[in-house]
Amino acid sequence: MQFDRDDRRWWRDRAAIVGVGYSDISKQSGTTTSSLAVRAIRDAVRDAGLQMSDIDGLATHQVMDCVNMGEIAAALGVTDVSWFHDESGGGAKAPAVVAQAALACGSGAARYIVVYRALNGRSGLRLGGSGTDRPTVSTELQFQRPYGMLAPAQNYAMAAQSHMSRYGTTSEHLGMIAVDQRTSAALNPRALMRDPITLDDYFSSRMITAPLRLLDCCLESDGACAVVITSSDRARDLQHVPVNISGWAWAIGPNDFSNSDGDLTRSTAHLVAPRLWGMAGLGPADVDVAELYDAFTFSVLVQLEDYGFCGKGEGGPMIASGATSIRGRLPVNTHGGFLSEGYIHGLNHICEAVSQVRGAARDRQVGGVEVALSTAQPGYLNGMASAVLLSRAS
Amino acid sequence: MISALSPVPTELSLPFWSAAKEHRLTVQTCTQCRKLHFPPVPSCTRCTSEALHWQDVSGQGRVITWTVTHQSYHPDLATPYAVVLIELVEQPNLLMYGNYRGALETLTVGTPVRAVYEDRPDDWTLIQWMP
Repeated sequence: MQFDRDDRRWWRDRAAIVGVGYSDISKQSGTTTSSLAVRAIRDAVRDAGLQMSDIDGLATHQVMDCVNMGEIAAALGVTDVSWFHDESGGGAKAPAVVAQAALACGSGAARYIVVYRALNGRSGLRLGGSGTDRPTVSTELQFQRPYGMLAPAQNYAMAAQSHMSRYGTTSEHLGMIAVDQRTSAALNPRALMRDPITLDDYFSSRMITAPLRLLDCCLESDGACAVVITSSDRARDLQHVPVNISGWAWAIGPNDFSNSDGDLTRSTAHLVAPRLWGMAGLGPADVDVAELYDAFTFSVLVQLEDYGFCGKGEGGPMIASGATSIRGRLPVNTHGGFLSEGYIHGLNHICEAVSQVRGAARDRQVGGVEVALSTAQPGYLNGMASAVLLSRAS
Repeated sequence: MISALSPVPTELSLPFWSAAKEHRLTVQTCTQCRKLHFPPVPSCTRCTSEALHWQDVSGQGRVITWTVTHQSYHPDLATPYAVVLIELVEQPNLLMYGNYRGALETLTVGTPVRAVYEDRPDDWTLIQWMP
């Protein structure tokens, strides 16, 4: 294909993920974000069959909840990093940062980039609104916070309520997401929550902010993940089957306040989706597993619709049919997601997608995975979203 | 440590909070194209004009969506409480968050509401919503 600066299809499969790594995921790491990052990065580099001296690029995203990148480079003992990308932000960013690294490797700006995310999200800065202020100063928050509107759970709850009012989505639908993901987590030794749950357990969990109950909400956790990215050409010489980055897309769409389009039932994911499918030359029917950002259960439901896995308003019935369980037609969050594996802000979803495409997910491996989707937040609260589509190199 | 719930006005928003103390509900209006803006913006998002002034609105609106919060997110909040998202009658998608002061059973999409003013011990006035 001839390079055309206006056609992003040129970037399809130009870069690949060749290594994944983790620190332990816990509620109390007892160590620094720097230590967590170094463990995950070394694990990913080892998994790729590379040496730290091969790495010439570093990328991350953070909300001022991790030591700065220079300190991590120092802790790794690397003294000549020639490309870096340190992005401010949370839920919208993991796929976007992986995509930045793919662009850099595909264009020749860097050879081997490590993307990491490290946080003490339970023992340190808690993002869920418990015990500390939201870390980001927002112009809009001054018109919400005085009314007790100060936790992301509330933004998602209001969107979920809107969806229930318009489409008849039920608490059973949301509960099934939590139940299905726990079933998958039971097969994942890394998952923090592995005891199976039932819909009864879901309904007896305490109400956080209606309609969301405790079991609708993600865990808060300490930990780090990392992936190694290189060009698809270089990837062929490494030890694992390369997992190509076939598509990526970003969007800033309407938000849920000053820039609203008045419809909280539809997320920015609907803007990401056509760009993603168009770049990759693939569609929802080609996806074998979907690792969908799940800060709250509703996030999964709205993304099933907005990425086109079902029609608008049909997310609830699709979940109720069992289609998204690990034995279903479209297994979703095969690692347990944020709800049950842990909250590493989205990079753990990408790591899981890589394991599934490699066929290396052990007890939770889905049969014949060729294509995996991994997404960021669907848009709530600030309208930002991103996603990557990964596929097994032929 | 968690900071107080009181508004933290900016140069842009101070007129709103000052008007609230006088029991007026006011939003920015573009003097060029007449678009209304809330929260306040530095320039009109439709016509780019920086000629924006504050204009009182009726305080009439309708409920877009809501949540009843049971989790204690702040020591100064008594739970449960209802947060509502209101669309003002003056313009589509002109939205405000606030607390619902009617009976929770009456909360449905489209419930008509009106602004009421709550003077707070911290010397701020909050805009709340009554059916």
